Amino acid sequence: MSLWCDKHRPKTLNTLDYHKEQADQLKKLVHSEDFPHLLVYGPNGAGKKTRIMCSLKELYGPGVEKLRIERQQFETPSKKTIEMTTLASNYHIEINASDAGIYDRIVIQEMIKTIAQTNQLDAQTQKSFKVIVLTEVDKLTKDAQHALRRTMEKYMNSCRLILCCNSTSRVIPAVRSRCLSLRVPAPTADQIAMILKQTCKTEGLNLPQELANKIALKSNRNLRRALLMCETAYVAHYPFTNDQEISEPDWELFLRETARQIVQQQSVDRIVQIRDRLYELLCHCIPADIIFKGLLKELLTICDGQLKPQIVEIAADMEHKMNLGDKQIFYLEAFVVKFMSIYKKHLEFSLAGCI
Amino acid sequence: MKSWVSSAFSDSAFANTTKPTRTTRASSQKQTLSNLTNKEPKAKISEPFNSPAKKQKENTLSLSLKYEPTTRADLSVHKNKIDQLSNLLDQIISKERGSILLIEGPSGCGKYITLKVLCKEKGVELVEWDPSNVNLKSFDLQIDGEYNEPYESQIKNFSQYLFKSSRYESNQLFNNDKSTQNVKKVMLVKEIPNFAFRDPKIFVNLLNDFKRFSKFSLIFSLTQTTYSSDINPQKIFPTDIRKDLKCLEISFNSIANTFMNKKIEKIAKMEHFGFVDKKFLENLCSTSNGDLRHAINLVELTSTGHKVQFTQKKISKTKTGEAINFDSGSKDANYSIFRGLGKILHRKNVDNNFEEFKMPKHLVQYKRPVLSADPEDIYDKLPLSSDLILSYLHQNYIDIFNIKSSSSNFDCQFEALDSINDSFIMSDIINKTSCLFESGTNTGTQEARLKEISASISIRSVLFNFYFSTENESKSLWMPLFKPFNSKLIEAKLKRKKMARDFLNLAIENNSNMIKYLIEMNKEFFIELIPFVQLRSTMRRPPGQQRDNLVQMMFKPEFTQLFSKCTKTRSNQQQTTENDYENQQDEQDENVLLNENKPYKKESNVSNSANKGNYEYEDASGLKIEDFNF
Repeated sequence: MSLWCDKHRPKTLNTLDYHKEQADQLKKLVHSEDFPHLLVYGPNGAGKKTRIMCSLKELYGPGVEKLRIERQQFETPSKKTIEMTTLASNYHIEINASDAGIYDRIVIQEMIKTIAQTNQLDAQTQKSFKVIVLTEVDKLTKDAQHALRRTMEKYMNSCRLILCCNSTSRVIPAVRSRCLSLRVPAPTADQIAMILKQTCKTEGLNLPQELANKIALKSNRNLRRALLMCETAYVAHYPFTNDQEISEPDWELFLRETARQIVQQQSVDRIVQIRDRLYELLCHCIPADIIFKGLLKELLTICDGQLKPQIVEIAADMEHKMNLGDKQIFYLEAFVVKFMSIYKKHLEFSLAGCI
Repeated sequence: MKSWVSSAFSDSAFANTTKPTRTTRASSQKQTLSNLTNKEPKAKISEPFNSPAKKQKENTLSLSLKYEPTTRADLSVHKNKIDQLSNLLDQIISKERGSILLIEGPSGCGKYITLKVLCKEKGVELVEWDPSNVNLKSFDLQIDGEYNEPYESQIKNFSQYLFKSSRYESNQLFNNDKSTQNVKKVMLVKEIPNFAFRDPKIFVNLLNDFKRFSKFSLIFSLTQTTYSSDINPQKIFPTDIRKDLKCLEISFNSIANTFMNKKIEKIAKMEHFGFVDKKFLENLCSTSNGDLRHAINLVELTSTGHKVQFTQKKISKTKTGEAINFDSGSKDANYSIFRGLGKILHRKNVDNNFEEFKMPKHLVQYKRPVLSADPEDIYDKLPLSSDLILSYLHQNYIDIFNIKSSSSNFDCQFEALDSINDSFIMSDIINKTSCLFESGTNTGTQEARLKEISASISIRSVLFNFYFSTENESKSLWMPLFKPFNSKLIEAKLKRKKMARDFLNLAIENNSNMIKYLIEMNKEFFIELIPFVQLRSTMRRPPGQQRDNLVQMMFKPEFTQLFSKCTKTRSNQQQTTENDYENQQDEQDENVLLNENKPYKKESNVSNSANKGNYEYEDASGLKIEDFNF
């Protein structure tokens, strides 16, 4: 039994549910003589990957769906071997180079070199190039991105790159300018609700419109999450009722509670407790930037409007520094300390004003 | 001999690279044991400054050798310890069959001397293992007729020492003197051979064999070190091996100040130094840390350094002043982790008057009294990298800060906290930057310099901010120090990732759609997929509906950690009402569903324990100071 979000994923460009214009453009692009490097970006759960796979299918036919896992080894100059997992079909290969940490440059160079140096056997019937799909490009180091730029130019004949990331702000301009950028915006709540209803219909279930809207709202315009929520709701309670509870991932609840605790009391004791909670989140492999975002979002809803710009500024500063440094907990904690101090001062100030 | 050509990694090379202080000592001992008479040249090296007024022969010996105790009464060791060792020796000698005795203690506490004196008293001959034994080598080469081997394996050397001596009463190793045949022998190893550190197994096997076959007893004299883990005897003789070998143990303490004072006064008297000042003795005791050999060497050094006064017998005058500073001769003492961190976290001032300098008016609040210890000095002496110091400080500062600052107001507290956090962040970023230099070609100076700066920033910030004008005197309070959880966090994460990968690999067998998550392990999988799959499993299912594959899989015991819940607060309320129902349901399900192969009997237990939220962190925070192994 597979998850709905995998099971009902569109397989061709024609069956995509939204952004149909973009789908048409992609189709034209595929059938044109020259297929460029692509840089696909957009928020989580917007359908970047789906679109990439659909385009690949349009390019090569159903052969791209036969995926196999490959483990490749790379050796660093310091004789350390890194093992990378790649997903490959006969026509393309997918890799997340940011898994290699600071050695991502080597992985990218080596891998692209080996793939690009072998030409397709039958250039007449097939396309003359292979495709390399790189995910999470924004997490690559600057070094790796520069390496990417050079290899991109060098092996233009035999391979194309499809880069996939959340935001282009961390991709160096040199790489950006060599690709055709393609933004995949998140679907609207209405679109999500529609897709949910459609999915339930194919599953043979009846989803009331109201519940569909509710889920769509709660999903933050993330389609994957909406489908997961819907499925969870189905497992929890079927037939659907309009007022049934929609469960959220536990770490979000945990984060909300953490934010509440921060606002509730400002003291050194509380910082110790918050630190424990932050460690717990990190321990569960929740990325620190997502913790930052979640925490900031929760805190902003609680605190006064005057403070908002100041707090956002601090959070941005800390998050930036976090990327320079190493120990994520330091930055999270520093943010909490700064928030507490500002918040408390503001409270005291406004209290004094009242009297 | 071609020993100077041999590779640096060969065993013989290892044998020769012993600690300098030990070799001089070991070689001088060897002289007294074997009948070699070339005492003069060696002693001359150890003492280049001869005082001309003395007789030539006496003067060539260094003081520590010259006044080496020869009788029990002379020893500066506590009487009980001597008796203890004497009893143990008796035990060993009477037993005679391969018993092993470990003598432990810091350097210069009289382990060897006590043993020597006692052996002499009991008429037992001490046979020392000399790692640079040449005699044996030549003997061996002649037997084998092989001259092409420029060096001999240390393992071979050591095992020969162990076994040849036991099988044949008279041995090339020992004196060939027939007269010593009837004398009882005890074998002594003062330095654990280097191969033991590389491969403790071989060493332990050798000792096991020794226990079985040998007629003699073996004594190890081990110098205790506090911090260096690589050459710590504890590594060679962990407790379980001690038990297996049935080792007898005795540990010496460092020499008490009273004993040391007596001894030094005595030496001073014998050498006609005249009156020894009390302050000088105090100074000496504190610098030598209970190491008598070191103390005596210091005395000798100071006396030769002031040769002119010495000959004029005015030595006592120079010694009274504080002019003599032992800094140059003092031991290179490192702090233990506990002590070093304590020095940072518990600020110590020289005194509370800070009139020496005037601060401008707007900076008065930043005035701090003079510190008793230099922050950079602490860094030098702490056996930790700057990165680790930072982690340790971060882990531990907040508890202590909490107590110390409890009496000051919120603004003060948070200003200090803010400043500490900022410096920690700076320190962390500098550390990370220094790592970049590491991978480059020009390693060394730049990297080390950056690390120094980083450590300096973090240490100074803690020292600076841990000062409160209204300091409450809770100094007697004992605060445990914790290992930094941050470094454990990486391990925990890796473990979790590996678990997730295993889980996925399993899932892919059933469902090839899952394959794409292998690539995107970092994000979606942990923040979306796992939480929802986990939620599904805790939901109440409509009766008759089976658990799907994914949910079943995650109840395998090896994956429970992966799905342990984040929300302690929420789950308990909800779960308690449903638990009974759920458990019954589970068991029914299993019987129906999983009869074909391995039934997951543990299922209900596992899901319960998962609800309790057994995090690694809880384990980690339970770490107490005992874990440091001081």
